[in-house]
Amino acid sequence: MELIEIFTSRVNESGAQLHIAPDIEEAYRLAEELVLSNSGDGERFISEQEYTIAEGIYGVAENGGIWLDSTSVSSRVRPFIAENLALIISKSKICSNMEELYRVVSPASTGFGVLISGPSKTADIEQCLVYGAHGAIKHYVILY
Amino acid sequence: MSKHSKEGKKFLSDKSKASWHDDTLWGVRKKRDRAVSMIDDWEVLRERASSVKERVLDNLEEYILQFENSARNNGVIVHRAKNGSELNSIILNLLKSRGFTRVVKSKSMLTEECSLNHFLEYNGIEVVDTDLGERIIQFRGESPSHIVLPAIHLKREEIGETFHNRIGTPAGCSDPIQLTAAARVHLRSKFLNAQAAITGVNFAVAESGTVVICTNEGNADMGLNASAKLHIHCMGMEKIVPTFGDLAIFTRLLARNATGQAITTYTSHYTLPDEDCEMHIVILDNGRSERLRNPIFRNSLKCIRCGACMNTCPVYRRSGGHSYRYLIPGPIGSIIAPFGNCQNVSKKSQNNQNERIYSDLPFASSLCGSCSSVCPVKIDIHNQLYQWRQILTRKKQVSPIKRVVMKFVGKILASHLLYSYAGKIARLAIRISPRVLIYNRLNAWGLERELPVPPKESFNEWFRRTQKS
Repeated sequence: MELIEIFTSRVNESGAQLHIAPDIEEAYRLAEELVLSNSGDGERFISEQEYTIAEGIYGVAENGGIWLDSTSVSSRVRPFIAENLALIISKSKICSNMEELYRVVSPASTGFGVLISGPSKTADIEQCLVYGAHGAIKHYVILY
Repeated sequence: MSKHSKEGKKFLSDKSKASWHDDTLWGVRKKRDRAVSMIDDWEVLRERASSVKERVLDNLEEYILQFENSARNNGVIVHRAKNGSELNSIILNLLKSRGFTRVVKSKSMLTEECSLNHFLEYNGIEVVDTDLGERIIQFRGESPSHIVLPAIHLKREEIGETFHNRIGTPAGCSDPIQLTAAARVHLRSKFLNAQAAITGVNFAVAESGTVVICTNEGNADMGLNASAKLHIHCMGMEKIVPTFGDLAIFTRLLARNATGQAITTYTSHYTLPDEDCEMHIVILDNGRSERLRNPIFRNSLKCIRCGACMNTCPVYRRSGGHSYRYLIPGPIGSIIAPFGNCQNVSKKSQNNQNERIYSDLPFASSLCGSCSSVCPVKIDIHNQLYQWRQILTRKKQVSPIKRVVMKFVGKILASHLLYSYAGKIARLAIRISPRVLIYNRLNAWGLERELPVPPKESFNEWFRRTQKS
């Protein structure tokens, strides 16, 4: 249980919004609701530049990151190009740190893998933290 | 006055900007301390990081071969470049043979080292730096003043003006949120139209042929994945880590030590080329093997470019990155700069050209050792700066005045009699001399500070007197 607590506090620190869902179906429903509420002018049609929902393979407690690989997304660009990114992760898939992550995920096998922690950010102008430099402006983590 | 001091003086002439620079970087250092304190075994982690790098440097060629083999088995094309011009022409050939002219590049100190941008632009290629800070300084025709925070020398008003002129943001707009949003739109169109993407590499895993890229903005990943079909990763030969187990140590260390984050937003691992895309890796030497063979300075090849030695350095914070005039400023840069590209060594003099140009940098340090104590891979930075001073002085690369004065002072400090006599004279002289004799151009110690009032007697004299009574 302690791992989950560390994970959730690191997720919050990373600038992501954390939500808890009772099961995976509810997690997907919530993810959709969250990414759509923020897209376009309330239109229901959304392009891949506007949102991506993906299921993470593992989460890392020590830094709040979520590991995705080629099997998690239809193309490599999806987690980066979307303005709203929702990542769904199971409470049973949280490991403690990077060393454990690389042991449990076989990081090279699908050809591409990325650990994402929070929305895209920059502080290149006077060290002011701004979200959404290039990638996601809003980053949701749904834990079930 | 050395070149660094002169440039530093210019930097300090804008007092409020200089003190903002100092405070801001010290703030980054404090964030680092907080992030580090959250890891129980931080010192163990540093030790392990240092020993992994040691092992890699001891067997570098073997690990590079292993990396090359793994990458080739993955369908990746691996190139080796002896120096910057080789790297540049490899890249130009790749682009030209495919008829590509639009390139997006993510921040890479390595391509700065080779002046790749200028070379490609000269050959008719559009190169867009996509890291926000890098784009700002590209617009301004400047060089980065910090390896992690490339535009830290600029204030928001200056950036607002640049953006107004270059991408049409409203005049007078200097709000970081609005400026970042404008850059997002501008750069997104570049990403979506790019034919090729060039990135740097943070770590290269030998066992799998994977390149690992860490960014907060996601610009490297957007560049590679949005539209470009030709992917070129450029890495220095020292970037190898043997296994993913070893990689974990560094992905835990890097962002904590660099910016005080638990990890960068994106830690991306590229192993196989994407569908319909070509993946190339260029491994650069450019003087690194030379440095590897040097027993004193080889340790500097352990550097993972976190920038912590800059943030903590009292000299860097108060003189700005540009005062070092080398692409990597600060303490670690002052070790690398005099080395430079060893091709410049002329057989006759055995003196590297860079040793002359950057001979002042190892002296631009208080040798306080703060850099060494924050270095995540335990490079003995301040000791290496001290070693450079010995070498440069022996090679007569320091000013004749300094050499004469040092010889003179050395004689005094070596003799008990001369030392106590000189002390007496100095104590008296400082007290009775007119100001103009002490506070003039010749005495650098009196330039920006009041000398303390000298005590009436030395410790020795005081000790003898009080012991008697």
